[in-house]
This record gives sequence, structure tokens and C-alpha cells, in this order.
Amino acid sequence: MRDDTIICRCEEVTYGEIREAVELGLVDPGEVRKYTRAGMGTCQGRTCQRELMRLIKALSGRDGTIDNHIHARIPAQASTLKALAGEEED
Amino acid sequence: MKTYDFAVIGSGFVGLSTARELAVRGRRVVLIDGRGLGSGASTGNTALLIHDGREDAAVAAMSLHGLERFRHLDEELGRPTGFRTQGNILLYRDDSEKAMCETDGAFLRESGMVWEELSLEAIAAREPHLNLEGYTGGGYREEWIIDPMQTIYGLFADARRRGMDWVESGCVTGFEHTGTRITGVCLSDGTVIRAEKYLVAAGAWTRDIFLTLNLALPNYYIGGACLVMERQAEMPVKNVINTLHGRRFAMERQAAAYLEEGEFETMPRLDAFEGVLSPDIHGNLIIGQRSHVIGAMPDRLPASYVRDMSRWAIALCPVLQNCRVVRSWISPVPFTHDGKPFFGYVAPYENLAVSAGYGSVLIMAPTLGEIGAALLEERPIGYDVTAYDPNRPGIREVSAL
Repeated sequence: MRDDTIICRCEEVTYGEIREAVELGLVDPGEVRKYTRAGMGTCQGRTCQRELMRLIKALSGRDGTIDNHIHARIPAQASTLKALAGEEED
Repeated sequence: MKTYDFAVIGSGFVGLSTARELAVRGRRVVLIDGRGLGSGASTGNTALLIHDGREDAAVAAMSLHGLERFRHLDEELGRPTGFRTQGNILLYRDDSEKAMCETDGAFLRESGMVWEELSLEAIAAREPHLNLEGYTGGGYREEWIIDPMQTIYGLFADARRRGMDWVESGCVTGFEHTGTRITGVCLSDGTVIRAEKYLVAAGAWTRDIFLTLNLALPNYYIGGACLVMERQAEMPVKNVINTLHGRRFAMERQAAAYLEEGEFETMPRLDAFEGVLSPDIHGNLIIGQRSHVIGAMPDRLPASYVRDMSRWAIALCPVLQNCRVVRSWISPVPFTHDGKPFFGYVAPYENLAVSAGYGSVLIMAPTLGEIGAALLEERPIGYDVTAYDPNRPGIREVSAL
């Protein structure tokens, strides 16, 4: 993988940026996510999350549970405010 | 096994600033956070620096000092913090809210802050996308914003360079102690960390940590539910737009009354809605917030909150209706019976201190780092914080269960 390989398409975060974050000592996926913005875009990591986790584990050389910190939340996919507002009830 | 001078539990702005201050002063300090650096409210918030000390002179003084530190923190850390000014428009709906707004304005002016009263026409001229039906006027104040994770990392990297140790292998599960003295803090991976003194600065997890010692610190929370919009090419609002939080304050008074009567655990669910549109530093708009009183850090928000916040945002700013929401969160705002935080040593332990429960805390963080270090090193604090004594009268819950 090259440093300019894009890992997170939504926020255009590269492998190099993720590598740098891990080298700085950020090994928790939540930390890497908030620091690099990987997984913070439109798809919220639904595309890149597995790869991001794998990379953090490979780069940091750490085993164990590093997968507890990215939670599924509302909305399940990007949704317009209008759709989330629903129909007004009378 | 290494024994530290100080162990600080919690790597949010308060704990990290305190640990860094101790490292700057050459002390052997370890920072502990099993949930990751800056987890919790420190990196899940609007990142606004809000001067909010109208009812507490110490908070006002600590905020002003913190703001001055933030202005130059990038130079101090050798890294960008994203610090810049951010306008905030407060909207009111009637004369009683107008009066509250004016009281806020008078306080801000006395503190040397920017404050302007605005007519509806003046608001519409500044924010053409707003539909101001239902509002009667407002005010403009200047606040500040930072990039929270970049700033947290800058503080962390600087503290590490100065020798601070960092343990993130597990969450706190309890303490070893003699009854009057803590001898170790136990983590979920089996590690025990030993220090001369311990500081709990664990934000929304503070209460849970003290419960492991059978101490019920009444450090509750108001969960502020928010929606995060997809990054906008052009932000529909330039300023943070707030409604005056009258309903939210009424809810806090109601919850405080239950707490005072010892009925906090059995009170009905209290919630209140006040709106905020808050553009963040990355180009995402944050929409909030439905608030409810809670015991500890929550994670997910109910679907009805999403609906209410969406409806409010569309009514105030109709162009938002086709913009997409990508995420939601609940951020905990501390709630205590008297509105005061907890800062000091916690009886019966002579070497266990707490620094938690602050509202509008971000602006004060550098100051809290300084006074936290002073507390642990037994130097003068420099601010009148006697009202924050964690053993103060009126807190009946702080006792062995």
C-alpha cells in the first residue's frame, strides 16, 4: 500500500495519514478516526471501517480488543432531515 | 514496579490539562484512560469556548484566564489548535426570555465580551436562510471554537515529550486502599497503577468510578442529543444559532428539587427541547438539542428525539430539509444539586481528589489544569473554589452506601 492510497473515500484520508496517526501513538480506532477524520464522512465508515481497523492493528502491532469504540448510531445511513422529520401528526 | 507522584484518571480536557501541567513541572505523572485519548464529551461536542460565569465569579475568572491560554496554545504546543472566533446569535420568543437575554448581555459586556442586541430585521440581514416566525428578537455574542481532537493530541504529545506516562490498557474497575489512603488504582486488564496521589477527572464516568469505593458522588448529567449533518459545500448559517435555554433551565430546577428531596432515582423522566444550529470547524453542521437528565454517559438517542430536532431545524432553516444527517450523539452536561462542580480531596481518603462536574468546561480547561496541579502539589489554588468542595454540606449522597 502506498502513502497516497485513499482509505476513507468520503473524507479522502490516505494510508499515509493513518500511518502517521498510529506512529504518533494513536492506536484506538476512535482516536484515529477523530484525528484523521477517516470514517467521519457521509458513509460514516461503513465502507472503510473494517480496513481502518485492520490497518491500525497491523501498524500498531497490537493484538486484543481495539474494536469497541466505534458504535452504530442513528441514522443507519445518511438521511435527509425531511425524511427524519416524518409526517406531522395532528 | 514504578510508583508515580500522581495518577490522573481521565484523558479529556480536564484530566489531560492537569497531567500535562504536572509533567511541565517535572513531576512523575501517569495518565490513565481505558476508553481512548479524549473519549467522551471532550471530542464529542460543539467545541465552543463559551464564557458562562454569570452566576459564579470563580468560573468567570477561570474562563477568562483559560481563554487567554487558548489564544496562544498553538504556540505553546507547537501545533495548530484551530482556535478562532465564532459568532453566536441567541433568539428569544417573548418578553421574559428577552429579559433573560438582556441579563446575559449585561454580564458579557461587564466581562469585556462582545454583545449586541439585534432586531429581527438585523438577524434576517445576517442570516438570510432563517425563518424567524415565532421569535421576537435576539442578541449576538462572540465565542470561540477549536478543533477538539487536534488540541487534545497537541496537549498529549507535549505532555509525553515531558515524560508523562500513558496507560490505556484498561478501564478503572476499583482501587486498593487502607480505608483512608488509596494505594493503587485497578484496571480491567489486571494492571494496578500506584502513585502518591490520585485525581479522578473522568467526566461522565466520574460517578461510576467513585461508586467502586461505595461513595455516591451526586455528579449526574443532562444528556444533550445532537444530529450531525453531512459536510456542506456552503454552510447555510454563519453563526451558531441558539434559542434561549429557558425550558432547559426550568428542567434543571425541577431535577435539582428531586435531587434535594432524595428522589432523584425515582423521579419521572424529565426532558426539554431547546434548539441550536452549530457549524463546526470541519464544515459539518450540528443540530441540537433535546436534553434529558441522566445518571451517566449515554450512548444512543431515542428516535423521537431525532424527529423533534429535525422538525425544529427545518422550521427555523427550511433550506436544511434536503441536507443529510450522517450521525447522532448524546453529550453529557454535568448536573449537580447546586450547579457547582466537584474539586478537592474526597473524604475519607487523604490522597484521592476529584475534578469534575463543570458546565461550559472547555474554555476553563487550561485553568483547571493549573489548579488541579496546584491541588495535588498542595500549592495555593488562586481561585475561590471552596464552594466546589466534594464533601460540602448539602450533599447527603456523599457517604458510604
